[in-house]
Amino acid sequence: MIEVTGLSKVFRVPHQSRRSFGRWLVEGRFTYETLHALSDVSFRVANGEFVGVLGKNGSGKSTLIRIVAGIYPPSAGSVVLSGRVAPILDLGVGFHGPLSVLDNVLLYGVVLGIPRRKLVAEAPEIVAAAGLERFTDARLENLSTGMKMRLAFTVALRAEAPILLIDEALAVGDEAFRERCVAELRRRRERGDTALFVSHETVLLEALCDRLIVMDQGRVVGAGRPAEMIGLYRGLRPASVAPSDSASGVAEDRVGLRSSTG
Amino acid sequence: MHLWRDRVRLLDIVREVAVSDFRLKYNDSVLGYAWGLLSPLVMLGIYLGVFRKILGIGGRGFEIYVLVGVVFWTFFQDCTFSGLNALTRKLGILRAVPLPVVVVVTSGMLSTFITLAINSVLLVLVLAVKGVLSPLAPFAILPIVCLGLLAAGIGFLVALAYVDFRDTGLIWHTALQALFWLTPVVYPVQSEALAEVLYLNPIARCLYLIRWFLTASFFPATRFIVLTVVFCVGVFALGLYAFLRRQRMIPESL
Repeated sequence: MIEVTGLSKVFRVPHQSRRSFGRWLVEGRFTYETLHALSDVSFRVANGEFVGVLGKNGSGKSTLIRIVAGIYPPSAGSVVLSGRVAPILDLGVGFHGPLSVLDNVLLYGVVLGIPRRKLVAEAPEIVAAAGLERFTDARLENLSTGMKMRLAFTVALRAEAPILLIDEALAVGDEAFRERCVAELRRRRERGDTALFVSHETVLLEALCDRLIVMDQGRVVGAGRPAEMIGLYRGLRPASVAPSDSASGVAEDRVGLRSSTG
Repeated sequence: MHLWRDRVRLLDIVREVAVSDFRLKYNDSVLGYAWGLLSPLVMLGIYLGVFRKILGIGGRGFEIYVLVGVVFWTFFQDCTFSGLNALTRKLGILRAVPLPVVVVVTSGMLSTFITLAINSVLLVLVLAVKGVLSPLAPFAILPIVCLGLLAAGIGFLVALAYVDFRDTGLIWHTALQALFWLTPVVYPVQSEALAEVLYLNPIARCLYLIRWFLTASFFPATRFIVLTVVFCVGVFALGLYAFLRRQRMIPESL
């Protein structure tokens, strides 16, 4: 179960050119942009439910899932989780190209919270499940992007947590990769796991989710059956501020820019 | 049970990240770890040449004095930078995985401790072969641990400063160059007056004690040891406390 109550998030982002000690000494203080990324967001995901979060760029989706995962602290409100979380927010983050496939399985796995002993025991099986058994000792950087994504997803799903948080992580692979991911996620759903997805991909969300939540300008503007919510989402206008750094998860959510000093 | 499982998980992360950082550092070198030894050895040769041949400084045992200084100064320098480097290199992890930031920074520092451990063993072997290793050598662990705590405490503060000031790396690099010459790493302290001033510096105190325990045959003054331990533990506690207080805001502030 995921219970989000009255969640708000305000980022204070200093102007990049002012972030040196020298300038701070000369000017005495930094100036900031205040970003209201989330405003009073509340929803509940029941145990065994798969819920998707849909919204245009800058709607606050990535900030929301990072707060639910415990990566960013909220400015106000609370998040209650009924169990451990497996965050799949950026597939392969922490991979090191110069290390072998096997080393990367161990490194990525422990970073995702999988016990090392379990990883050591299951590493050959994981590599085989990703279809990379011939490349166990190869340097990861010599594999294709698709192979790396396959490996990352296979490792990520070994995290035995009842709550999955997935942020656009499936958007990177080809069709075969996505089909495999969807099949695996359906298996997790049948098992009774809970999931919160963030995506722009309506087809994927419709295929996997029981309900969708639509966000706009940092607020929840609708929640309900996928077909209805996809209609609502398509009627939304693009966010007022375009993303400048979608990988960061901060800049993507720039909503309500205000200048301040401090 | 959850708490214990989480601690085991964090220890797994610290170990795996530290070991992989260490391996990555020497992964592409033909000589492997030996390449990491080459740099301090070259510096050792240069300092010995300059001080002994050109300036005429340094008597018997000066090679060992400089060798110990270079090995432990190199560790101090690397460790204080490693926290900052961990923040920049692991930014992707910090923004995608719910981890205490202190775990990532500590892992970065620990990879420099692995280098220190290997170099310390090699150093002891060199001293033993040269026949100058003191029976008190096991006590050198104390000042080595103190130096590690001091470096880690400063490393936390440097990493924290980087969150607000992006030129922290450049500033600390310059500060380290000044600190190097304010610390008797490669030159002997030959006057009482100079010693009074130089040994206010806790790095100098640690180096003094490490050299003493490795090569001398009787204990140094207890007061000197106690003050060194107190100062190093204090800096570590201050750095860790300051870092823990702000760590929740770091992923979104970077």
